[in-house]
Amino acid sequence: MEMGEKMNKEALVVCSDKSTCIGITVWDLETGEQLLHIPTCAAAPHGLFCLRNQFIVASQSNRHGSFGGGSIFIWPLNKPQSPLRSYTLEAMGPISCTKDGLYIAGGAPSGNAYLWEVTSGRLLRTWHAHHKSLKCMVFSDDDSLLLFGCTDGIISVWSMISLVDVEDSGSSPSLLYYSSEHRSSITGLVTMSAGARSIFISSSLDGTCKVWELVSGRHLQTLVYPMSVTAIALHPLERLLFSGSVDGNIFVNVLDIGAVEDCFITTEDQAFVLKVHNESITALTFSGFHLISASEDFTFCLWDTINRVVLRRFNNRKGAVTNMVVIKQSSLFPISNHQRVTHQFQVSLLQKYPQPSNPGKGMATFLSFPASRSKPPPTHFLGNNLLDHLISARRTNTCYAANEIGEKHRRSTMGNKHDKACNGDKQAFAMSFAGYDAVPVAMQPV
Amino acid sequence: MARFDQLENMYDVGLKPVMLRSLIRQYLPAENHPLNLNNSCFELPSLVSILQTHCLLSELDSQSIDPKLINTWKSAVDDWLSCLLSLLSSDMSDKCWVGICLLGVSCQECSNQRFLSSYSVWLNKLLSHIQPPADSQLVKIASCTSLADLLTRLARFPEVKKDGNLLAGKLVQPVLKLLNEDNVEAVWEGAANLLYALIAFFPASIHHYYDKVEAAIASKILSGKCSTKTLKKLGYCLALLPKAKGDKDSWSLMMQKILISINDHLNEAFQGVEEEAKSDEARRLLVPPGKDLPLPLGGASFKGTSSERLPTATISTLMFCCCKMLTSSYPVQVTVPVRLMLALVERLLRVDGSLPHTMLPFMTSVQQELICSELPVLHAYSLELLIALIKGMRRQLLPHSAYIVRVVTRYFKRCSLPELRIKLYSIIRMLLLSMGVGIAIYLAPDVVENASNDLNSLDGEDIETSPANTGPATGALPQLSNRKRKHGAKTGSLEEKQDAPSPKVGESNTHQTIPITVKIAALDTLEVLLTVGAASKSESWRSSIDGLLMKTAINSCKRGWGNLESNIFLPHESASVWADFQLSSLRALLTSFLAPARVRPPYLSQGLELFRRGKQEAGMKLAQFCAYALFALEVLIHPRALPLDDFYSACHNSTDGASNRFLENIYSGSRKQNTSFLSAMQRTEQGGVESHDDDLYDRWLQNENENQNKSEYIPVEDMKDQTSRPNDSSFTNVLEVREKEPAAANADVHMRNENEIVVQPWHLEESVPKSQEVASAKAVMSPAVGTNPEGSEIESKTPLSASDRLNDTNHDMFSCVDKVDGFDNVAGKTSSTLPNAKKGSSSMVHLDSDSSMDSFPGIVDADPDTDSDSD
Repeated sequence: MEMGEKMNKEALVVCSDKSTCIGITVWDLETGEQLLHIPTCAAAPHGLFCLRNQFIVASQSNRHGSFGGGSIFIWPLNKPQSPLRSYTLEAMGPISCTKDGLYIAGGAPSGNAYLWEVTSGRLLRTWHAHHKSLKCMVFSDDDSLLLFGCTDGIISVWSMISLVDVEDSGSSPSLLYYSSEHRSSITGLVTMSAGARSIFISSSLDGTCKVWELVSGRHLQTLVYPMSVTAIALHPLERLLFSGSVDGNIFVNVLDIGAVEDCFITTEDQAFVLKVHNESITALTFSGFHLISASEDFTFCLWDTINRVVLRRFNNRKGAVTNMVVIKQSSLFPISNHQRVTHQFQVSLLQKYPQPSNPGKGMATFLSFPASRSKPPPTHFLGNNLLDHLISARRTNTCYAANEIGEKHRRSTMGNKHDKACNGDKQAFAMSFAGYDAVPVAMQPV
Repeated sequence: MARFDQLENMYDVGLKPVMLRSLIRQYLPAENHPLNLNNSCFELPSLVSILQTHCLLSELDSQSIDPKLINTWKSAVDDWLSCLLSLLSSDMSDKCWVGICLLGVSCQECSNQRFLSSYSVWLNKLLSHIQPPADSQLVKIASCTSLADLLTRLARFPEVKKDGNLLAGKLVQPVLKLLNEDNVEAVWEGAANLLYALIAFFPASIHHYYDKVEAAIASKILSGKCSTKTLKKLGYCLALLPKAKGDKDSWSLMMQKILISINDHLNEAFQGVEEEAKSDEARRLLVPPGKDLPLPLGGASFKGTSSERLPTATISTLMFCCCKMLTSSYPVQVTVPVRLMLALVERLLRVDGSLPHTMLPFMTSVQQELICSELPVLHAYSLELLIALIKGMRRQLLPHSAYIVRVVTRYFKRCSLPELRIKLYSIIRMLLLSMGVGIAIYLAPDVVENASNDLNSLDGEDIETSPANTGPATGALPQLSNRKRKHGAKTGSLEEKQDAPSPKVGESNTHQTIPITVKIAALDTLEVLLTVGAASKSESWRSSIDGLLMKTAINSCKRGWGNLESNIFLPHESASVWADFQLSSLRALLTSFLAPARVRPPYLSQGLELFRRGKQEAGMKLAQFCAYALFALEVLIHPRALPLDDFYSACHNSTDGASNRFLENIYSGSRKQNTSFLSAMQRTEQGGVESHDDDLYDRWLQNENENQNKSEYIPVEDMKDQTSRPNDSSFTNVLEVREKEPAAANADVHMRNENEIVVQPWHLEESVPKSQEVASAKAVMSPAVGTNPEGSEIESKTPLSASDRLNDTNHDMFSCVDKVDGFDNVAGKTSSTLPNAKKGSSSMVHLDSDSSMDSFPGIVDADPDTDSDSD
């Protein structure tokens, strides 16, 4: 029973960007215990995520080797001692993965963007997306669009389908649109899953959050704050927006995107404020309905958003937390303890260079069979149907008494007239058996 | 008689042994009695039915009933089984057949304990009937079936897995013998059934005979001399066969062998209708340079069957096999040659029976006719293969989805056979659902065009039953909305339009009549498109599709409600197809109402009327859906601004001043409104929210003043008003309001730049009297501060001209939607232009407007080296 509870409990993965020695720490949010520590990791903001509930992926902000490239590390959560170290051409800033964990995107300070296929590690595409450094990136809720936020305040939206197009005939531009409404660096992008109307929200140092229609790029709403907004998070029910500001306050707004269009909302008197941090908020996330906020003041807090009180305050001591990811505690258990996973999700080293497309081999893709992981489907007996077929077929044959073929049949013990007819039937039936697949069985249902 | 008295009712357990014994007496032929074949054929089904209904063999309830009864039942079942076994060993094949069939039933029905204790005896008994001395085909088939059932049951007991594998291993060779040596197709099919059970449940038993099994199946498939059904069963077995080994390589090898075999057959079949280069290209993809060709499928070469007949059966079975390999589960991850399969699909779909110029002299009309007659089957299977790819690979197909879109849209233009079109629609639905809005952008123009054509054309029944109705049926709706704009003041219902000369939509009507099944597929696809992609660039097609769906729903229901209940005299399809059509059209209509849009659905009142009627009058399934539709629409008509329970209660409990202020702001909108209509509406909606407020009484008095009873009906009246006069100003006003938005946005931006004061958009007030619906949607906001109609006109010219320019400059633009208005017809197939987005925000920049190009980097496949150097 205890095991079952543990399976559903969540844990918080935090890391900093300042120094590799701080590393990654996994905390139990309920007890405040430290569950796991992974040394040597320093990820840029938006440079940490959990892949398929099985891996922690982080872009490393420090340079590797004399060539000045970057690296992305992938730790299996149940075996964190042996990370997969992929080296990239440039140092990676923000990285992100699709919800299904099949693709990873990364952005560099140069404005270049990279896109990998996780199972094969293939670098599918690299392109110059922005002039300035990429700050954050996120996939749309259905994983079909990729959004970038840049330090110069520009947001761009790209179509995954044409980005990863193997043929790349150039017929369809990958860039859907871009917008430069924000006057300063983008600090956060969140997408909403609410129904067919896909919407995303951007936050910026210019002190605003903007609500956009994802596909058309139509700007719906601007929320104006008295301070630069450094991080945003959406309540799981998607009605509340939490915006962390540069002075440590967290503003809470009710989002009303249903009807209101083209409007500005000053949030000073509409939002209420969560105050506990003294310095700039660095990251916000949710664990269940509890908000977690991290700040430059080296602390991070678990909030009860209903009563607006801090439930637990953690001190990271060594440095400010820049990245937080909530994971299931169950993913930390070693495989033996876990349910038997015969079908571990495959992750390969991310390639440094794009491969020239090889028509024979390169086009193959890994296929994971979802069915094999679930229970075998209930089996059905063949006989019920077939018996009916046999009977109905046989009956039809007795009625028609078609026995031209069966005369060569023998069997001394069954010399009577009835037997002849019978053998003929069988032959005729056998010949015509295939024709009965469409005949409705007019007998009682079995 | 005494026994009879003891029985309580039909559930009495004591009844079961009695019934079983009388069944034995009545139906099972005695030892030396000849079997009356005629009788037994009629009696067997009822015998089986009684057995199954009353669970006569189950021997359940052993704890609750007294031991004497248990023993009675047990001995009855013992007798039953011994009777069967004696039948099985009879010389007379008829008796034997009955025994085998009933033993199969007993395998399914008997208790676990009994099954486990006697399965090996039964298996051996049955096995003897498929081995050489047996010569009756019927007995062989029945034995195969009963054995398959026995294995199926056996597979449910993991504890006897080992023994099961051992026993199953004994079956393999006899089965192969049946396949190889018997010459009756029905026996092959029986053998395929048993083979399936073996591979599916006891793959280890096949392991040693892997190649032999492959060869046996392959020879049957490659000969192509069976019925489709048998071939499919064999193909399925072949697809599952790699499971016997369960490793990555055997799957890939099998797939490669099958693809090569398909390719070889196609090369032969398509000689003359296809350029030589195509087959070479396929070959090059199949066997990468430097690699050895694997052994042909089945080991040896089975080439050169008959040249007069196309090997369609073989090709289609092999493709079916590919499909099954893609969609069945497999123990390990495997590499799928996606590119290869897509190339195969494209190759097949490209051949349409026309002769390339270079081939003209070499083909005879007979050859061409032969190919043309078989092509639909091949096309259908290649679409099936595409479906299987999408199903099996899901989002891993993303790198190939652009290619698939190209193949699908190209084929859409040429495909006109109903069956293929239906398949194509289902492919599009799957793509939309699995790839999301990203693919909707590319697919929407083609879906809208094709679905509109299909739905706008007459179906066969329409022509037969109502020749007078050709007018409204062919009148395309886009045209209707054109007229609306021209005669803005004219009032008239949809019906009044019929007198207008509605030209037959000649170019769009590629087919005279479209079967209803195709229309159903088109409707379902539009439904999915609206669900997935309504938020995407839908401005160009949305209004015409909404209208089309309304019209289709009305047409589908005007002849009364169909009945989904099947009629015993008609095949199922024909009985319910009309009801299916109604259901699909209503579903699509509901989706068009619910899909996100900038305006209130224009046909809402007509739709509501339809749903209400359907709820009362239609058959169960339709009525159920109509009730659901009304239920779903309730939220649209009376938006529920439900509070987040926890959040609001927290706000209430706290004494913090900020939260009170916050609440006030939320609700102030309704209080400040001076239009009685609007405030009444909002008050009724928010009644639930505010009921705990202590000023409830005050507001009640307020409502009283405004005559709440009346105001409740206003929304309905208003909607009727609007829809019964489609030409009136309310519709055009919606457009006007939209055109003014950029101006508003601009104004806002300017003001904000100057002094950072947030300005309320001023166009709202103006729109209130003209278009209540738009206004009501926006009325939650604060009151307007001023009007400037002149300014708005000036401003609105800019986006118009901008989009005009876009029209001119984009030559590759694909305009698929009839011109609705000045800028809505820009349906960029692949372009990224968004006229409305352009209007929506002034600083939004688009690729196609050349002035902005230099401000933003193009899509450059960056040379990574130079970049890292500069770093």
